[in-house]
Amino acid sequence: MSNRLPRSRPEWVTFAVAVAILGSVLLLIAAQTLGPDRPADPVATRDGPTRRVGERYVIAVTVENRGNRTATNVQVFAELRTDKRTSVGDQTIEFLPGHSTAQLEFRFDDDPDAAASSFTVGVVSFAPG
Amino acid sequence: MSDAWARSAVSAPRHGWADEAEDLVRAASGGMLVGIPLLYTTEVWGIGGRTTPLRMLSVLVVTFGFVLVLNRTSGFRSTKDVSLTEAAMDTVDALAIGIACVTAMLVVFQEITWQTPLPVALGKIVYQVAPFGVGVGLASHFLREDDSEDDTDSDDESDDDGAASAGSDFDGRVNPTLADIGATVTGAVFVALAIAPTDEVRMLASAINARWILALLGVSLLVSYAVVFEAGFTNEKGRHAQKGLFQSPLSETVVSYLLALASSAAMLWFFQRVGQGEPWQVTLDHTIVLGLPAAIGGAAGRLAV
Repeated sequence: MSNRLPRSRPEWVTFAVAVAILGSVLLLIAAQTLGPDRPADPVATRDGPTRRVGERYVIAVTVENRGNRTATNVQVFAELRTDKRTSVGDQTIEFLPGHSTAQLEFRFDDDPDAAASSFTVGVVSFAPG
Repeated sequence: MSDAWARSAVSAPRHGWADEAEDLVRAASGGMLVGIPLLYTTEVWGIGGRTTPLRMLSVLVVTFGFVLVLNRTSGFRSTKDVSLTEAAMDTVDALAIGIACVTAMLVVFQEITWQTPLPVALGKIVYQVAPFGVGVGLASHFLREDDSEDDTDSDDESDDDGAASAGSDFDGRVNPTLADIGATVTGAVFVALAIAPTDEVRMLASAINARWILALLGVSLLVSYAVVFEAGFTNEKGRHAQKGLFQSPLSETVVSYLLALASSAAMLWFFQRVGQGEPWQVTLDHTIVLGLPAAIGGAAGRLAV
């Protein structure tokens, strides 16, 4: 049997607030279980115009995970073809949670907006989290 | 007994807003003591981002259970003696305090922003609440004054030879054993919790072969024995005279080490560091590697009993 006094008003107020906080978190977690379970689906797209930084050209890329589940080790590959040469770059995103985005930048010596230039970017591999 | 309790209830000061604020500050402070190391651990942030909703619920349930046990014996309120119902209500308070404090800290660290997906934010909060809740449950051990005005309990005291309290209906040999078990597990969790989610456990387990794993096991037993029975720390004499089912120092050391290993395995599973289709040998190696700090923590916990 407890020797503790019955709960006072402040303790009941604390408990009510605590129930509200904990209940909200539980409801939010439960809400995550509703809806379709879509596997990880990271997609890379060019984001905005080319920027000039010194002598180099910077292209921003957005990688968006359109699924519910996390994608890990997302490898993004970019290629710029010009009449002079072909330049490549790749970056890896350690993990990309569902419905989240990551911003990347690729830098090249050649102008991607010049005539006869072609820029492509894409996710070449990832591991489902 | 009931008349005496009624009289004390009439004459004892009511728990006012200032007392409640003190309890809450004590709770938050205890939570910070244990939770801060993991708030600074990137591996825990990452686990939160990869956790499924079902796993989050499991984490909360396990945390609730563990903090409930702590609140039954210690807690953050100024009274020690609580019933199961009161301990459960205190546990709800403890988890809510943890959620509020952890969320605030993660926002300050910008680990949670308006752009953070809700599942990621929830995962980070839930995993950080676990160690915070442990700290809240132990807050009274660290931060409560010995002569609290609300403490109406007068029979929960340790005697001079370190035996666990006799204020219960249990047989004198069972109660000290339960106290030892609880102290070992609590101490193991207290020390090893901040290490369990880190990559260092995996790195060590991968780098050493079976011979060195056995050596590590031996070192863990040796250090655990030395801390409790040879190092001359406080209450060492009490440990030598400890009553209970595991009476001899050697058997106590072995059993406590097994408890530390069990705690170690549980923590590794909790932080998703083992149990994901890996061979049992890998899980065992990880458990023994984390078992050393867990055993040291368990030894320290038994010294405090």
